[in-house]
Amino acid sequence: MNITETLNIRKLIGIMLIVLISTLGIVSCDDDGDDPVDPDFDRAAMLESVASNLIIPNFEALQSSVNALEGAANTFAQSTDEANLATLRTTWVQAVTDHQHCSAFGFGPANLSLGPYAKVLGTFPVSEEKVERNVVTGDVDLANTFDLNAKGFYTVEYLIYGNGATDAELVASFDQARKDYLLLVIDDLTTTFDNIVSEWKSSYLQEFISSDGTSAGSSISLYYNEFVKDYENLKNFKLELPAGLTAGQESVDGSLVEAFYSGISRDLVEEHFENSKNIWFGLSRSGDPIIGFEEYLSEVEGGTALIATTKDAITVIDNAIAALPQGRLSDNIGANEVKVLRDELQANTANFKSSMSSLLGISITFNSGDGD
Amino acid sequence: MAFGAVMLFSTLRYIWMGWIDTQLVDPLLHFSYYGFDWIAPLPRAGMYAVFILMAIACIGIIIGWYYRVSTITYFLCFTYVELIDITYYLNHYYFVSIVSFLMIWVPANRNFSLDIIRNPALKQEKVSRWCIDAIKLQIGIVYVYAGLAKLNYDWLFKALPLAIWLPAKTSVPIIGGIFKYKFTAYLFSWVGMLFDTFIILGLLIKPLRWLAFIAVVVFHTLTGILFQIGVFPLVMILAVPIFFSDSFHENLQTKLSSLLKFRSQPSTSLRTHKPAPQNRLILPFLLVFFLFQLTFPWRYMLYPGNLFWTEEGYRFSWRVMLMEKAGTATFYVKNGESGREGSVINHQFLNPHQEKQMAMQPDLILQFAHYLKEYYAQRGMEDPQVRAEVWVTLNARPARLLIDPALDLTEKKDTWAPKEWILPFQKNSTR
Repeated sequence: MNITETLNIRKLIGIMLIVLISTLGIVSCDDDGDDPVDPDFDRAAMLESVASNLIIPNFEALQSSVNALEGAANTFAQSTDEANLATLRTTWVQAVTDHQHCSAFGFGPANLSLGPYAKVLGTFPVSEEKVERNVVTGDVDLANTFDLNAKGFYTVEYLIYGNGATDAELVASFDQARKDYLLLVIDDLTTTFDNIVSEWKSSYLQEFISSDGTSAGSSISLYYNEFVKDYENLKNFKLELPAGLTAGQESVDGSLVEAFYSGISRDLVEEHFENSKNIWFGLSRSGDPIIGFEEYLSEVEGGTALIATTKDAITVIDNAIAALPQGRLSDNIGANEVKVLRDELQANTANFKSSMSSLLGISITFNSGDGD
Repeated sequence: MAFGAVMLFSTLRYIWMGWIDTQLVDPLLHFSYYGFDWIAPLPRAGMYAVFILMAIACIGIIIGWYYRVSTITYFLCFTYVELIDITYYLNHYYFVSIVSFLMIWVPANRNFSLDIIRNPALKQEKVSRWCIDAIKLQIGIVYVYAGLAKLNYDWLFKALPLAIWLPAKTSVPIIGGIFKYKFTAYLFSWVGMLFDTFIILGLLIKPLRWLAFIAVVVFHTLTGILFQIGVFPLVMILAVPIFFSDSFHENLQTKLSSLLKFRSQPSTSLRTHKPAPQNRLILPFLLVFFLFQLTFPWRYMLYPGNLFWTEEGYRFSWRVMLMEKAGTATFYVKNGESGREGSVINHQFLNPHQEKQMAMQPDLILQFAHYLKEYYAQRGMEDPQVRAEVWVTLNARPARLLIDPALDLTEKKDTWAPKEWILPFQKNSTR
C-alpha cells in the first residue's frame, strides 16, 4: 500500500466518522418514551397449554358429539319417526356447536388433504341439488369428492331439517336411499374426527410443542394463522356475504347464512366468537385460565397498548353480538345490527392480524423479506 | 477472474422453482413497478422456460462458456422475473440485477474458462482494474448506504425493530438464550450499524482484510440463521472476496483447477492493470451509472413526511432489515349508481404474501384500488368507487390509519410527486 492510498483511506475514515457523528446528533434529538423490560416468554409452555387444555379437549368433545350424532342417526334409520328425528336434531345441534370451538384449529391432523377440516366439512351454503343427486346416486366417495357443499355438517342439517317441509313430510321422505346418504355423510364426520383426535394424542402433540420457533410453519405460526383466518371467516362468510355487504353484491341473501335450515345461526356466531376469545385471552372452553395470546403480548415491545386496544374492541363486539335480533338470522340479515357487528369485527381485524403478528414477530409466509 | 464463483449461488435459485407457480403463475394480479406495468408474466410453460434459460446462463457464467451471451441472458431473465411483481422486491434481488449487469461488461472469461478453449485468442492474463473496482464500488455502496440507513432514532436508541425480532428467536440453538435480553437487541443494532458502515474500509485496508472477511462471514451467517432473508447472506459472502489480492485468487484458481482436474496451463500472474477501459464509452457510462447509484437512494429527502411511513423513496436504496411494519387494509367498493357499498375479501385476489406487502405500502394500495375498479367495472358495476381503511403498525407502535378512509382512491394516480393523500405519521401513542 502506498502513501497516497493510506492518506485517502485516512481521509475517508475521517469523513465517515464526521457524517456518522453528526447524524447521530440529529437523530438523538428525537423523542419517545415507553421501554418495557426484557421480554421472556416461554412459547413451548404456551403450545403445551393450548394443546392440552383447549385444542385436544375441544376436538374430543366434537368427536364424542359426532359419534352421538351417528348413534342417533342409526336409531332414526331403524325407527324413522318424529321423536327420533327430534333426538337426531338435538345431537346435531351439539355437534355443530362443538364444531365452532374447533374450527380455528385446522392445522396438523385437522388439515385434511383438501384443506382445513372446517372448509372440508363445514362448507355452507349446501347445494341442495347436489345432495339430492347424491341421494339418488348413492355410494358416493365422500372422502375424495371436491363437492364440499354436498357433505359435512350442513348437509346433515339439510337432510334432517329440510327446506320448508313439515316434520311429518320430512320423516315420510326418508326412504332407504336418503337414510343411506345421511349415514354416509355422518360416517365421514366420525371417521375424520376419530382420526384427528387419535393423531393429536399419539404423535402430533409432541411435534406441536417442540416446534416452538416463530418462523413460517412453526406451531405458533400455524396456530396464529388459523386463528386469524377463522376469525375472518366469521366476519366474511357468516355475516358479510349473507348481509350483502361484500363488494359487488346488490342485495342481501339470507339463504347464505350458516345453519340456514335449523335457524341457529345466531347462536353459532356467538359460539364462534367465544372460541376466538378463548384463544386470545387464554381460556379453556370451560373458562379455566391457560396461556393465550394476551399473555404472550404482555411480554413484548408495544404489547401493553395493543392488549388495551384489543380488549376494548372485544367488548364492543360482545355487545354487538348481544344486540343481534333474536330468532333466525336469515330473517334479520338486513338489520342494521348485523352491519354494526360486521363493522366492529372488521375494526378489530387489524389488532388480531397485522398488529399482533408484527409485535410477536410471527412469520406468515415462507417468502423471504427485507424486513419491511 | 474467479468472480464467476459468485454466480454459482445463482444456480441455487433452482430452489425458487417451486415458487414459480405460487408467485408468478397462480396470482390473479401482479403489482407492477412504477413505469413497468407493461411487464407481464408468461403462461406457466413460458415462465418455466425462462427459469431453465436462467439456469443454463448461470452454468455458462460459471464455466465461462459463451460468457457474454450468458451474462446478458442471465441479466435479462433475472430482471424480467424481478419486475413481474413488486411485492417480491428485495434489495438483494436488485443487487443481483446490478451485479449481473456489471458482469456483462467485465471480461471475466479471459482466463480459466471454456471460452478460451473455444477461442484461445481470447485469453488474457490481466484484467482491467476498472472492472474490479466497479464491482468493489457497488458493494461498497450497498454496505455504506445500508449502514447510513440505520442511523435513525428507532434503530439506535430503541433497538427497534431488533427488539421485536430477536425475542421471537429464542428457540435458535445455542445462542437463542441471549435474545430475550433487551441489551442484546441494542448490541446487535449498534454492531450492525457499525459493521455496515465500516466493513468496506476493513476490506480495503490490506492488513485488516482477513479480519473483515471473517466479520462478513460471521455477520451474514448470523443474519441468515435469524431472519427469513433467503440467499442474501450467501450472495454477500461470495461477493466480498473480490476485495482480496490477485495472488489470493490465483491460489484459489490453481486449487480449483487441480480439484477439477482442469488442465489449464499453470496459471501465471493474473494482474490487475491497464487503468483505463479499452472502450471509450465505458468510462462515461460507468460515471453516469454510479452517479445514479450514489444519488438515487437520497431521493427520499425530497419527500415530506416520515420515510418509513410513506415509503416514498424507500426502495432501491439498500434499506434492509430496517423496520417492522405491518398493515391490515380493507377495501370498500361502492357502486356509483346504486350507492351500495361492499367490502373486498383480499385473499380472493391476492396470495398471503402479496396481501401482506400491499397492506402497508401506499403505492401498492393504490394499484390494488385501481385493479378493483377495473375488476368491478368489467362485471358491469357503474362508476365503481374504491376506498380503503388501512391500519398500519410501525416498529411496535399502535396501529394508525395510513390514508384517509373516505378518500376515493380511483381518483388518485401514482406519480413521482409526493402522495399528499397519505396521512401524517403520528409518533405518539395517544388514542
